[in-house]
Amino acid sequence: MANPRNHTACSPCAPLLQWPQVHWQRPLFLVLLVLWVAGMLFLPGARLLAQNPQTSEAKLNEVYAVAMGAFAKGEFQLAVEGLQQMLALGASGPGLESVHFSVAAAFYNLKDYQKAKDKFEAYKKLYPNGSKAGDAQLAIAQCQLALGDKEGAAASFASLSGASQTEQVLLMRASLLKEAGKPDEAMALLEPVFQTGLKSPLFADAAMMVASTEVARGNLDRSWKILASLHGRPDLIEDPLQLNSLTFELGDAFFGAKEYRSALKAYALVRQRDELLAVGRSRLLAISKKVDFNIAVAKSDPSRVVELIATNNRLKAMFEEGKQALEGIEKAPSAVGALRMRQARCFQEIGRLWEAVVLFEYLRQGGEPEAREAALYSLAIFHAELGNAQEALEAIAAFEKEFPKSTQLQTAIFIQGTQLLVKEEFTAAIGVFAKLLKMAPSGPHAEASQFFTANALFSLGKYQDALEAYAGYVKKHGKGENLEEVIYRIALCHFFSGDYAKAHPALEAYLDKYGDGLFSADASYRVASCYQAAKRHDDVIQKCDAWAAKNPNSALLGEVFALQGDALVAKERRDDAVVAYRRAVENTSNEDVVGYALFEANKQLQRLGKWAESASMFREFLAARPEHPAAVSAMYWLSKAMVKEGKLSEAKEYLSEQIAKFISDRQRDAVEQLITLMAQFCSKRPEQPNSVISEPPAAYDATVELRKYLDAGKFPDSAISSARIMFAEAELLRLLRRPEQAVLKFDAICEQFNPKDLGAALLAQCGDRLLERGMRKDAEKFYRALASEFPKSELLDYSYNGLGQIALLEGKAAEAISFFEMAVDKAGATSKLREVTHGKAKALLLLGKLEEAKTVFEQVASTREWRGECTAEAVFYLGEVAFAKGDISGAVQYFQRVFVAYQRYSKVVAKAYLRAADCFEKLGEPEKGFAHLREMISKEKLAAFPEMESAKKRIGSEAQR
Amino acid sequence: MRCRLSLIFSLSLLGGSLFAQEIVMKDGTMHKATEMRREGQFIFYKTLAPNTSVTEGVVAVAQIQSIVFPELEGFAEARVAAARGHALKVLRITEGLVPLVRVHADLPGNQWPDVMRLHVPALVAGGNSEAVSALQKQWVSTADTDLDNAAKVLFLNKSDPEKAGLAWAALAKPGASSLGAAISWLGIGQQALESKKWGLAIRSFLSVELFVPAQRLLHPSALLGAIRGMLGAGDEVQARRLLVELKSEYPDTPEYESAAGLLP
Repeated sequence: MANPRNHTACSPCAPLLQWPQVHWQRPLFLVLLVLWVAGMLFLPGARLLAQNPQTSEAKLNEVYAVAMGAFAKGEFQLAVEGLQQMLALGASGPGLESVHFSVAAAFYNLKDYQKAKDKFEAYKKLYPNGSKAGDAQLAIAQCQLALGDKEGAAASFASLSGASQTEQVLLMRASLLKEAGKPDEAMALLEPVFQTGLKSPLFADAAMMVASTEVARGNLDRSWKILASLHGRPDLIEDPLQLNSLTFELGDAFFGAKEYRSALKAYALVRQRDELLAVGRSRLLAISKKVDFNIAVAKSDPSRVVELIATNNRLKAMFEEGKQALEGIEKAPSAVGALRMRQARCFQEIGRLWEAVVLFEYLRQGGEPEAREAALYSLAIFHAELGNAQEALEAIAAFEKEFPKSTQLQTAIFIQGTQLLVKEEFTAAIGVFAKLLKMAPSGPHAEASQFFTANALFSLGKYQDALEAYAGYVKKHGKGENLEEVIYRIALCHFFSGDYAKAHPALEAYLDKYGDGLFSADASYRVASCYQAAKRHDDVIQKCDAWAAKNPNSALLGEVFALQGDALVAKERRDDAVVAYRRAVENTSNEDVVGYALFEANKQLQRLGKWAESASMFREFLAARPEHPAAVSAMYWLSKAMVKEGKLSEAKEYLSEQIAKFISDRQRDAVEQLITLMAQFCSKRPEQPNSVISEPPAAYDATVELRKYLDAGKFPDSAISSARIMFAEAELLRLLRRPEQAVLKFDAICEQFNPKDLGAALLAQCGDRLLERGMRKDAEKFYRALASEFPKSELLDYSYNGLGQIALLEGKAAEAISFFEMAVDKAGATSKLREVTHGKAKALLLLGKLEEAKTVFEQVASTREWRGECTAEAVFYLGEVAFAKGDISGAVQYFQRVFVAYQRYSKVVAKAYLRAADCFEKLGEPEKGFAHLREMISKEKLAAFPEMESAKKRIGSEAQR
Repeated sequence: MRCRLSLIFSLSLLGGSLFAQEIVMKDGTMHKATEMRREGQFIFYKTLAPNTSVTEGVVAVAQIQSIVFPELEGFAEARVAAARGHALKVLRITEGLVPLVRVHADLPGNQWPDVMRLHVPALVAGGNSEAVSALQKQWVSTADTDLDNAAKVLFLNKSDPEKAGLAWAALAKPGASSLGAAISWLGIGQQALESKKWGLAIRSFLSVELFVPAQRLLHPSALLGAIRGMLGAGDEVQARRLLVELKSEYPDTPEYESAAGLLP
């Protein structure tokens, strides 16, 4: 039997398995012998005669009867003694033949095979044509086998003729031939037996031998058919362990032949040890019961005693064999681990990775270290292939901890790095690759590690660091397999850093070197972008046309047309720009490009006053992409276009229909935009037709008008619907210049509705409103709901900004910065960039990072688009920075600038006055400080602020002094 | 003495064999019965004498060593159907056999365990609630612990989902190869699908295929469940590979039809 450990396809961790020896002998011979002997006793004429006249015939018969009686009872030694006594007494006659045969048989049953063989040979010599000559020859063959003379036994078996060539004999001969390395001859003997079918355990044994021979000959399919049918007849299998090991061997043979599905079918039939033990014990119990039954029957029917004793002896022999087989199973180490490992490898080979995962997870829990090591390592690989990055990382972490000296460790760490990249944990990935490069700077993963490190830096936007890393790669791996991509990425680093002067030549160098390379289309597009940055719009337009002609099916086509549109806008060729943008929408599946191009086209159409075309464009877009994220915005602009066309009622009807479709859908976070538009439309009285100008205008109630189009009764009854209708009413109040009522209405939304009921827009606005009212805890709930339930919303920056502002108010500066950075990194900070930047500056000041804070405050103060209260605040805080740095004069200047240039922003002005006074005090010029305070007190606008009280107290104290 | 169902095995029912069952007594005598009728703790039988006349006899159940019953009609066909995963076909046959074997379920050599080995998994795979209740009402132990446990889980699945969950957790251990474990994994897998826990669903369903290979009646629904889990997790590639296996091994099953519909 093959030892699985030596199987070439197995991993080195397959445990060593010892398979029990196969015994093909059967004790049936004994039964034949007993019966024949018993028969002989009753054969007429088979008399025993005494040669010694002193010994009577009766005495001989008596000795004979005792001897044979002992034989029948299984007392073979007594039988031998009795029979030999007979020979010594000089028995003669035809009956002597049976005596000679019986002596030999008794020695055989005593397992004294040498004596048995001698006696059988003596019998044959005496009775060459005796009635049991064939049996004697068979017995000689069996003795030779038992004595280890396989060659002699084979010859003896072969010399049997006629009826002696029973199936059992054929089986034995075949077994010997197989052992002698003559499988074809063995098969020739067995085939006739096997073809008659599975009739008995003997035939099952023949079938197993055929199956085993077929495995050796490589006829695996035939072997499989035989074994599958054997597994279907457990009643005929007397040695299930043998069948099991043969099935295992077949599975391994299929594995070696790369027939993995067939191997899996074979492995599926292999029984576990517990099952084998249960089957074995059940069989022994059945034999034992049969023996007891036979004893009971023998007691009630004495005429069957001899027969039943013989049967029971046979059964006892089977019991002993079965017991030995059972002990073999018990002692043999469990093969489950080896089996599961093979199955896992098969599934791996046929690409069914989940099955391999389940099996390796099972092996991981087992006790054998080799199996656990292979299991953990394989799990890392398979989970990575399945896209289960987190599970891959967990497997690698366990692998590294348990097997820190494994030869696979480097690869495992490499996979760890790649999985971190998949999860976009770029900083962690860089750390892992650095660790690997330190461990094995010239290892098999060094090149890829260096490449991925540079890519991770690129993904983090650290373009300078990425450039250094790519340069390092080129230096070390000048002919590496990633060189083309590295060269291209170097160009992209310059591009994304905004250094078009360097990006352009780098891109051209890539195109020169790689012609129709992997990134040529992208590189050409970037080159055009460089021209756009250089304001060479004519070149951009031309290049985009050339690019589109060369790459008509590229996924980048939409982006190229969008770029061309931008260039055309810059050339004020607005009609052509519209065409380009619309081509961009039609030729891309990138949602960002669609959104950008669509609304850029609309901007140009607005400027051209082409409302009908704008409406038509949006209608086409909505018909083609009704589920697009920009769909609701498109409805918004379509409605506006309709109004511009003078179709106000139609626009309201249209809006009303669209709002009705989406008002209950939390996920549609642009619905509020439509609602606001509807409120706008309803807030103004519709223009009267000229013919009725002379008549007094009919009373117009905007609220009634709004309710006509946003009738709550027509919408599904849901919390979000109700909240949105309240929002519509609040918007209308705001547009009707009733701010207090509008605020009250909006506050009611914040109070009446749970965050889980609202969409992104209302969550964002409620969060801001609650924060404004100082209700931080409630605001936090809304912000967190926005982040967790709408992670891809365009309004996500509201959440991070809000949470950052809350942290700032609570003095948690570091946490605040983290949120502000997330607002930019994760959410793009499209709406809250100003607040986020300003907030970050305040947090930096709180942390004492004065220079960094100053830089950011200066940025806020100088950004024209952000002009407003935050500008005043930024100037104020620049004063605080100067104060903290000890530049009191400088601080004074900033504070004075606030109350001189930003008088509108009373809250900041009040603070600035107070701080200016503090500065003067510090400078030793308190009179100037009091002058400022007096000026402050004179300003009625500042009366409500707490700083006013402080100012009055200070002046009061000074007056007292 | 409780009245037992009186059932007659006749030659016409059993395909015309010379004898229907062999009644082996504890004293070794044997009666080849062409007909057999159970009345409480006695078996009345008819046997053919050498002169082809019919004689009648009666034996006490307590004196019977074993009865060798003939192969049940349709049982071989049911086994073949089970190997092909055709649960409904198996049920059509076994539902008719259950009352026949139930009568003698307490006799040595009875066929109750053999029929239950097909009927229980067939009920799991394709049975309805009424059929499960019907079995529960007449259930007796098969003396096969695995099979008895499996039946208990089947009944709990219907009657007490909470306890069923506890049973699943107890039986569905890694690598367990019992029928009860297979039924438990199917239950866990289905729950995981409903909770969208795709990884758990896939693992549970595949455990049936991998660790309980002999229970082919359960494989079609296990493979279909795994395919659903893979699609839920967004892994169409792996789902299609498993569909190939389902088609190869169980092509004529409703589960294959459903899976093919999910992956056009």
